[in-house]
Amino acid sequence: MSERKMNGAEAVVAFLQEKGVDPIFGYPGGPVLVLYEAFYNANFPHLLTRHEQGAVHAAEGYAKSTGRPGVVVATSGPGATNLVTGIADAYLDSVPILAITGNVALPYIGTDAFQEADITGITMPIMKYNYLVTRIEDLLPILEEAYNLTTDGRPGPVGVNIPKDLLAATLPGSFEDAMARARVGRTQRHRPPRKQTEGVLEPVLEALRKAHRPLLLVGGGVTASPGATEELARFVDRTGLPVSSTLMGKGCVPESRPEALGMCGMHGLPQSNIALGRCDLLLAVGCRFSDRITGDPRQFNAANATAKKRFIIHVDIDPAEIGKNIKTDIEIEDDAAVFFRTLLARLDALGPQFTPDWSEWKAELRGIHDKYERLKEKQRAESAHRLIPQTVIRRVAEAEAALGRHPVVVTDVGQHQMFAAQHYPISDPRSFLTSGGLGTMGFGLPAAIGGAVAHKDRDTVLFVGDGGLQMTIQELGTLQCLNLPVKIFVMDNAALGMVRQWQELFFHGHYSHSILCNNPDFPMVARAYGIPGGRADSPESFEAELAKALAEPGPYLVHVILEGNENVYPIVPPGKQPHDMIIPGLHDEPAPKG
Amino acid sequence: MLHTLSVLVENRAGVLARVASLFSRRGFNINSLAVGTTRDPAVSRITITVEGDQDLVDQITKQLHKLMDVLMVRHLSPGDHLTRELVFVKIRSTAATRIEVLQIVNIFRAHVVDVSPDTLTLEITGDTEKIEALQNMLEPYGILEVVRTGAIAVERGSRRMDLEQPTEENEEESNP
Repeated sequence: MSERKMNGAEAVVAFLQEKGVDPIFGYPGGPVLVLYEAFYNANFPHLLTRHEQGAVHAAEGYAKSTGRPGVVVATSGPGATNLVTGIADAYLDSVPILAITGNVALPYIGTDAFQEADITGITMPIMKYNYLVTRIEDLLPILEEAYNLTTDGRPGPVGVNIPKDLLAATLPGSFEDAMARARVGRTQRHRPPRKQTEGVLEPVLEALRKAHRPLLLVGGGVTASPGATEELARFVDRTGLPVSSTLMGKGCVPESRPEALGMCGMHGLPQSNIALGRCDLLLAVGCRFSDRITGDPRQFNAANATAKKRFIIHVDIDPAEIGKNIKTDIEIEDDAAVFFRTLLARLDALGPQFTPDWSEWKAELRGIHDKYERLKEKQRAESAHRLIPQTVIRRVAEAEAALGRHPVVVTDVGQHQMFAAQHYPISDPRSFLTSGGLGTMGFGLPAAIGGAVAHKDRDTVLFVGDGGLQMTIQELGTLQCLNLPVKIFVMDNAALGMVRQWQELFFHGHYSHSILCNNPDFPMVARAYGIPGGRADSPESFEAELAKALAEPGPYLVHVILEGNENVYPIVPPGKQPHDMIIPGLHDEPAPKG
Repeated sequence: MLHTLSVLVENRAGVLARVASLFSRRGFNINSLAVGTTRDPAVSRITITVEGDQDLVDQITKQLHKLMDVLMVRHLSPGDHLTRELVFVKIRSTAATRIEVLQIVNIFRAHVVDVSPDTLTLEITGDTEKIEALQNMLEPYGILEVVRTGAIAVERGSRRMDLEQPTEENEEESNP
């Protein structure tokens, strides 16, 4: 291959092959036809979605579930702009995505040519970095830098926009020479020295020793950091620290562990939110204190500064996250795995000199946990005859577990997402794929396809609302084509449930444009695409459908007709603090004994 | 208070857009922004002045560091650097007031760069305070137009922003 002259498109394909990209998700169009010719000739693994948004969410599903960069390709103009939502989603959730887009030929750039859009300008604020290639000799250096950037430090999306004529232009010299030059890199950038774990070990240990009510809060940064979950498990073994997680941190500590308090935040579990509100030491690792966690950040800061001061240690690989929303007492700019490893080494050296006793605090949190479990038990008994989202999620989890399977669990956005986060216990990292930061409806189905592509040996379970599914429902075509074992549970409450809930609670029950009164027969839609499916409108029919879905080797769609309008509780009302959550019925439960 | 940030960036397409977009997206208010090349034509220097507290400056600095094209960021410590701005002021002035105006021009060491029967255009270099003082003095005559370059700044003494020889100081973040 090295002797023959390549064109730009062939160089792109050779580059992707060298990086082991398998597959790429995309959608063709005029300016990228040369690239598609190169895919064709190289028999390159390319998966065609039915919309560019589907391609980028599928790439996200792939990347979120593996940690490897997801690569997506789209044509110029509308193809590229259709990626925007997925790029913004990947930016907020720190997902490594390489987005290769076409553009009109160089002489046409800026002339408002057919299918021209300034995708570099459009995506500038929602990407780690992006490039418009203007010289063929820059193509491979840019691709190399862009690919590496997706996973360098804090992962994120990176874009490379290639004009049509450069795809067709001849690469000067050989591919190997160009790659060798590509690795040289750019001008040295000067950054302040990192404030790493090593330098603050003693203050961190001192804070842990002094704490009466410590809490470890883990976020997506722990999931993203290679090896961090193993180190985290050792750290929790050693210290016994109670652990809350953000939505993005779900699964990085097995939720079956007694120390695991579950998700905190706007719809966090009671024990987790109360721990967040009442702790006197918060050790936050790989999270960014979004408003879904803190409520009003000013109040959160004010609460930290009160007499029973909440001491905050914030560890993040991106120093800009530290001090952005919440004032911290100790700032550590480190990778999560390095942080836990360094601290563990010191704890190992200390041995019995570090044996803090937090049993009272842990018992208090356990009491809240037990009380909540009793409440759930009671509600479960009361609603045994109704098909409600909590039941659906719990039963899917139980049925998968009974078969000894560890599915990749994917959600769309809304009530079902929060129910899944609350009720589906996850034990493996990268096994709960959800759109956290951007809250992108329509994420679920394509992301599930991407996850399933990356994990052919596992089931993929998708919970999706009737609203969200209809935003990217065309990807049923992609799913059928790939015949992946994605089990789709359409949680149909004939409403945009979360919007409806907020209108009920905060807008006087004015259900302004949140009711979907003419939903299609989803299994019929699935069958039209060649995917089997069935309808469940009672606990009994659901059990039958669940069994069919799990027995099916390929995809299956269960249309779950939910009864009544369940609201997601707990809920922290807007502007309130985590421990101010509303949770009907919890206070009626008897107080924990002892 | 007013803070001055000096930023060395790679001189390539879109850099200014990236910096400007960062400020608008994060809601940082730029007081002034001036950009020009350095001795190395591949490197540009952007001088930004912003109003805010130390936390804001820290956050801006960190966000700037995340931009790929940003090579070095320095928060210039107050009192330890010089700032200057070049300004044109066009004022209404006829024969009746010209002498008075010229006296003010002399006091401020400004220059007259254009004159017409009913206007005077002045050029002045100075820090923000001097320029504001001049504007205040000229206000009664009728200021027609003000054109400012935005502040540029340089540190006193041997301190400088040097990519070739990054010293301990050069690696330091913001002010002491």
